[in-house]
Amino acid sequence: MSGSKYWRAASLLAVGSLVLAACGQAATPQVVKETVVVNQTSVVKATVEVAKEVVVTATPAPTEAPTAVPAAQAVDTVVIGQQQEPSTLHPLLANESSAVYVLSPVIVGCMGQNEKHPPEWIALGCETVPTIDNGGAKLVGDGADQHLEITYKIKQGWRWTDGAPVKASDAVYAWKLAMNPDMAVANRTFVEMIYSVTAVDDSTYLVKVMSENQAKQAAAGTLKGDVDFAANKADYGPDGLNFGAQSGPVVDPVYWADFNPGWMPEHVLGSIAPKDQAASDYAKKPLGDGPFVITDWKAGQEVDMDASDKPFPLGNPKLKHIIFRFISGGAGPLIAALQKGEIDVVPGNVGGLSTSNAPDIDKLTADGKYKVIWNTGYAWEHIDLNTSKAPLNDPAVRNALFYAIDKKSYIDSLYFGKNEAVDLPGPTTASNSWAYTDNYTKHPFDLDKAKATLKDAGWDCSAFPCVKKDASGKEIKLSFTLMTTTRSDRIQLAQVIQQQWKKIGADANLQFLEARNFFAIGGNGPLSAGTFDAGIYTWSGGDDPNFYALYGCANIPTKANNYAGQNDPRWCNKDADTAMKESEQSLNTLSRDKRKPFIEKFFQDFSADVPVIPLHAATEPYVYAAGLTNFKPGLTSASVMSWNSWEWELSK
Amino acid sequence: MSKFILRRVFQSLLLLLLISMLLYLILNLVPGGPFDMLRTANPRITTTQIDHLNALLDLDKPLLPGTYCPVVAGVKQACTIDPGRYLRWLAKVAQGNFGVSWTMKIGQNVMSMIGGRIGYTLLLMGLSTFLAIIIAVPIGIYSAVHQYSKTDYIVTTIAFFGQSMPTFWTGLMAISIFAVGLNLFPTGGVSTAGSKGDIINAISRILTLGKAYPQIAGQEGKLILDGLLHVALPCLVLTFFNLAGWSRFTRSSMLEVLRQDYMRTARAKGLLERVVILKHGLRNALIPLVTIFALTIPSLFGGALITESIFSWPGMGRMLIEGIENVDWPVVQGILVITSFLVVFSNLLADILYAVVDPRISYG
Repeated sequence: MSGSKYWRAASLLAVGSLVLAACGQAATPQVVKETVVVNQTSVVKATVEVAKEVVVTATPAPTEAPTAVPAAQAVDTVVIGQQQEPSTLHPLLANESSAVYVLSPVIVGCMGQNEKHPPEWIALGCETVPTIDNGGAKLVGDGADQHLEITYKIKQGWRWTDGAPVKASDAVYAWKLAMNPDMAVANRTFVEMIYSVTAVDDSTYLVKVMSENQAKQAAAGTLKGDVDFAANKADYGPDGLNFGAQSGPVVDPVYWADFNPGWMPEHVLGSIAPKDQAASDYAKKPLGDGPFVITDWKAGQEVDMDASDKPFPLGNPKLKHIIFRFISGGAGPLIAALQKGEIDVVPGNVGGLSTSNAPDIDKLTADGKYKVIWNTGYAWEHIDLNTSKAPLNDPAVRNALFYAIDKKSYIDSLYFGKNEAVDLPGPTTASNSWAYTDNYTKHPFDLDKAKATLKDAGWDCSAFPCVKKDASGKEIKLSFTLMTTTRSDRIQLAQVIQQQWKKIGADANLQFLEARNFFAIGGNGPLSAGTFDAGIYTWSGGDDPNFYALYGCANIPTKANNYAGQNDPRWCNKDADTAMKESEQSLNTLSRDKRKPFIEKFFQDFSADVPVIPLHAATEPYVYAAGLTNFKPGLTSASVMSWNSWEWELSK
Repeated sequence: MSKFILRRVFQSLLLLLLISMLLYLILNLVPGGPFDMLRTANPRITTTQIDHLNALLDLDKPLLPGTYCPVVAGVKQACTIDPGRYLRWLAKVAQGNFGVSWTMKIGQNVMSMIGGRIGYTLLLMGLSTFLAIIIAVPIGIYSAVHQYSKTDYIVTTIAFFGQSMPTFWTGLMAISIFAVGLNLFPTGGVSTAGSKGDIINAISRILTLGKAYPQIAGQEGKLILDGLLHVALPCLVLTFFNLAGWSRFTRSSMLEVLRQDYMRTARAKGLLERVVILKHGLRNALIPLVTIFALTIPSLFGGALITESIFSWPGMGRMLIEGIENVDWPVVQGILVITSFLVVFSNLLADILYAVVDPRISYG
């Protein structure tokens, strides 16, 4: 071959390689209408009947695994692959989901939630979940001294994995440790609301939540008690819990769980100063009360745990080892590890998989080696609309924008139909929350209605964008900035919504910021400073409605309050504000039946005013080996995928 | 020469001081702190609680020398003059202390984190650099001696292909083909899940205890073999990436040397062609390569950010990326300062080595 012909051939080869490289899998959106686990069988002697998982898809996919399979062997180790590695395993200092996942086979605690939709609270280390209904909690005292008392009874035989019994004094210690100002506890909100935790006997502890008087004293820095309340005075002030304006006893809708301080092994930690605990060995291998014990944490690699040799009261674990293996580099290496059989479980978003990996997950589950549970949790994507700035200060505009969004279309095209469209904050749906009500203003996709809403409000949409004269006669355009982070799926979502809004004459200019800039607090970021117009991001909610922190009038961040508060839309509706307070901060809070009408009122005002456009709840894929039984990932942080690890069995 | 070295050392120290200041200021002036993201997972967290977490890390103190008005228990205290976070950090760095991790490994000493990862980086980068050199140098020699031949074109194309392709692509392809498709290697990590230790532990134990306890060698052998199996793919990717550079350096250096008069003289003396090329040619051609090798020392410690992430290799490169993602500035600062130190002093080393290996070079 002559030199020039050779160069031509080499160039073609190089170009061809580049083209092949550029052509990824053609992601054909699949409309997955339903994924239902029809039947799940456990190992029966030496044979395994592979469970049927009915997956209805738009493309042909095998829906039934072969019924005759070689005999499977019981395996004593489950390897869980996850992308995120915890920053610490000290239960009080760990604030990320990856740590909660790793800790859950090791630390069980008093109570948790199960995998049901909506989830139920169940007693684990405690005899019962103490509520007012079952007499475990009660209001004591009168007037401004009235306060909530909750009695927790530790189950008999509940032990630390070094054999020492879990005692009530461990709960007292846990509370005092959490309140210590030297501890970098990320989630101190509820422990600060407690006035005292005392051991009634070895297995019973009593939590007294602050009364109105105590709350006000805490805000004034004069409250005396078993801990130094004055050291946390700033948290009780107007920029924090605002206890100076407290009316009535301090309460919480999920009081039985939120006011439980948990327990920490005083016999181990008592000798380590709080400021030294973060760097101690305990933060790498914490002593727990669960079925498993951490044996090793290889930084950047894995956390290994063995079944405890001390009997676990809820049932000894069937497995001998659980390994959490940290796999970085995105979804690609995770999927490769699954394909090769190196890992048995990848737990949802924390694991590193999302709806964008649906085609790969479908391939993995097609041959029956793996199964998937698509769990729609409480992370909800939404658009905050700045109600203090034109043109979004016009409720008609906000309603029109909501009508103009075709959620089904973008969910099908961007998320393969997996995510669930939601209309209410929380997210609150019929299947995930007791608080759901159908009585609110709905916004189905309707372009005509959107245009009519604008027209009725005086907008002239004959040209793009729509225009209107304000009260002073000045012309304003329906033009604003739509911001979000640089996460690729959010960029795509913003682009789709921009195009949908264009159809009704709304001109949304896109702007993308790094997450830490977008969410910067203290007036340093657009949400906090109120300089944004519309912003797309996610809130992590829960199964119990809790909205005052997000939408209460007192929680609008302003320069005057040092930008404290999370009410980024700057929405203040007096009726809704009152309803939220009645639901979450009054004595009604202690009864779901009493709360429900106020929650409904809040939803009605919220859906009519549209300070926020709820978009969808994130659905996460939990991929697991077909031979793993009793794998029941829940929806909340109290029911993570390994909440019942002692029941797991694996055969391959 | 000694005057030259002293002068360069002094210049290098000044340069490092400037670099440290720029690094520290740029990172700490980025908007947002390590705890701002907590609010998305916990909407009920208050600004005061985040302020408290920041204060535990001294983030409420001024960046540069200035007044500091602490707030204790919600009460503003008397203002004082504070030396600033930068000078406090610099004083600790001078003692080899880069502080503690903010978010990656809360409370853990940054130097011990770096110490825990450096072995993996040295293994991966050292092995891949060594392999790249021993493969690239013969290729470069052959290419130079048989300039414009078919083989020259083929190896040049392959080498350029390796350097042009992004390592995240070659990494994923390597996993897909050799790990998943052919089932020859694991997909990533340092050791098989559940192993008691890994290759770095094994090598350390052999070096420290091996003489006294020869019976442990059997166990360590398994770990070492397992580790080599795990390092093979990332090493292959990095070797492929570095091959082009080394082979081209060798080729052009050899071409320079092959044209010299002494090469003609060597041939005229009747020496074998192999002796002429390797003894007279290669020796002189290696002079610039030695200095280029000195310049790769920083990368031996800095690691390969993308490759380590793709293969879940727990090295310095991956730690740097995770530090940036998690706004863990002490970790990022520690790695960047060490890398800057190595870059500055490896340049000095390269200059010194050049004078040592080539007697024609001298510094005043």
